[in-house]
Amino acid sequence: MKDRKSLLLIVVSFLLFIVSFTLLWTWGYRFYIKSPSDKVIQGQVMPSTPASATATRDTLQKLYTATLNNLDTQFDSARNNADSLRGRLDMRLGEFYRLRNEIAVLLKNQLTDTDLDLARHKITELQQRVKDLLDRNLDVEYENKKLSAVLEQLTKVKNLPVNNIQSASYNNPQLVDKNEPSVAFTATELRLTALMTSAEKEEETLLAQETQKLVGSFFVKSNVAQNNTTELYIVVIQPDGQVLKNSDWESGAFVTNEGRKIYSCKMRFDNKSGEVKRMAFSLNADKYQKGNYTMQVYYKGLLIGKVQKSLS
Amino acid sequence: MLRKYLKSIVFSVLLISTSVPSLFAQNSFKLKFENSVVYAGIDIGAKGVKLSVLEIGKNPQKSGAFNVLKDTSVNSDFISFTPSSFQATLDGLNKLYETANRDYKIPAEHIFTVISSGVKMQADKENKADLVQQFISAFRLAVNDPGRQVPIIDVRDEARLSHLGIVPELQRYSTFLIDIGSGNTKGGYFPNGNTKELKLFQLNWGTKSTVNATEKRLENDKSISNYKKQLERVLWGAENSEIVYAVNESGAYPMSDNIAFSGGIAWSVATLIYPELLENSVVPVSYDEVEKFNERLFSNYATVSDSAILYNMPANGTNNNAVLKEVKRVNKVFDQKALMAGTGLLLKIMRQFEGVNEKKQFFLVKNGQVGWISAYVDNTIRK
Repeated sequence: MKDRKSLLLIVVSFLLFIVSFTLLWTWGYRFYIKSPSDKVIQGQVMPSTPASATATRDTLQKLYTATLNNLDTQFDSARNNADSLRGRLDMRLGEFYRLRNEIAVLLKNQLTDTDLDLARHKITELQQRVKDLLDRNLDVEYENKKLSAVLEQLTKVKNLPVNNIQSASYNNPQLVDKNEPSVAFTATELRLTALMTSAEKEEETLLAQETQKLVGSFFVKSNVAQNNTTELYIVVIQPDGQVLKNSDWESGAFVTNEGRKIYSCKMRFDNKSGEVKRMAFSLNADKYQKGNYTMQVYYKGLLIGKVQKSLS
Repeated sequence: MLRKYLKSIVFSVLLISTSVPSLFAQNSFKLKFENSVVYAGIDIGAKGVKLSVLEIGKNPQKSGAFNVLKDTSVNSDFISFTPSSFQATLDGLNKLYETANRDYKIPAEHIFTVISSGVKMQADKENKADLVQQFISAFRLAVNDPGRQVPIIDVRDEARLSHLGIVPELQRYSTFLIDIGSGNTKGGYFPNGNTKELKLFQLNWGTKSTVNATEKRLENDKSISNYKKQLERVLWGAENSEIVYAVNESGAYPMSDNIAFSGGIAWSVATLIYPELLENSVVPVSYDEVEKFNERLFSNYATVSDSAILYNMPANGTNNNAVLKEVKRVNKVFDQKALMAGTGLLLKIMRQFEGVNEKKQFFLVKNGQVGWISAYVDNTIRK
């Protein structure tokens, strides 16, 4: 019984020895076989073979193409928006085109290691140029946004409002051209509102049948350094094209650059330079027609503001 | 069932038969305002009888909603107080009353008859007040209306009624109204914020008297250049002897924002400067505009001819035929010399209110001739 137990222990020990030996041999073999090649790779550049050169060229070609595509997208936008910076941009674009052509020539030919190195270097440079162009584009976009904001403010009134309560500001281009002092007069936030009286309270209505009066208001500002009495003419045109008038005492005719026009009412105010004044008027008619009503504000015969109101 | 339909048909026929005549009566005039009523005012004046058919809208004193539908007159020279002028005036009055009542279908209670201040002034001067009362009695008999009111009004009342009839409530206490007539100029304003007290303004100069004074100075040179030169002298004299004093005495300058002129010359100038405002009973003008017009009358009179006015009129949907008719009327009533005299007198009065710093708003009233009768009608129907 005692002999059988000893035999089992000897067999297990033998097996463990065999396994340990195998493991040690395998490790020793791997160490002996692999280490020299790794040392070579770390110590020197691997000589290129035709297959590896092609793979590298494909990689570089892809990188080059991606860079170009990316740049093209940004460049279109940059070229459209960067008028003020066009000179500098053209110079940078010239450098970019030069690099692109050089890389294209390099990639077309059979590449040596030196060529690949040069191509890699030029692509890095190309990427740097692209980055510069993108930065420049961002600058251009920022400048463009600033300019757009200014333009939007200046041309706000040219986009004449079509809805009922939209405000408007209108700088007459003829005034700008003539460089007259009246250029600085602007009418903003023009409103034309139809009112009805309900339970002794005035309420806005959009129905012609319910309308009892039309109330117009706007802000007027003068940028002219001149304090005097100013007259503004208000013309409210009904859907049938006739001018809406309160009484004959409040309307009349005035001279514009389009000829003589009939006005609905005249507003007189003491003008102080830079001061913004709110002007308001009301018009009463026996009945109101359905359709579009146009309110126009004239100063010295020139249109400085316009708004439309629709009644159904 | 049949009875029910029959009832409806009978009711409809009755309704139509009663409403159609009144519709036709109202439709004989083209009315301007909604819910308005047509009245007739007959004014027996110094020169004759005048019928004004008026449309009076809602709250006319507030908005100035008077519309002159018809305006016709018969010349009879009543203030000569001769039997023939008496009869001619009575015939004229009867004729115009019949026209209003029968032709225009205006009921008797909507026809007002008034004797103007010109008749009263002359009658008082010549002790002819009895004759005027006889005239009134004869008219009552002729129209078979013994209780008919025919009041006689004085200058102050006429000026007050003119102001009330012409100037809307909104501008009432800030407007000085001046009526330039043919022989004189009169008007006034309400200085104390009520319509009872009128500050009267009077001048002995009118359009015709200015023409007459100028023509007296022409001597042998009847040219228009000489007429202009002599007119300037007449107006210079009028300004210095009377106009400046009368305006200062009226105290109207500091009390008024608006200076409104009525009378024939105001109608003429307004029509010729702004023909496109034919429908407007009042036209706002500036001193410069009238001054330029005055210059045109002398140097380029052809530009106020019917055809020239129509040719130069801006297209704004105004009825060209109506404009042409009105301009022809103006040119028929006032020739070049009368226009120059009237406009010159108008400018002399305007100049008293044309300050360097403070600017007054000038208005030319076109229907001033019916102003006081309109107010009289309106006041009477309110009582």
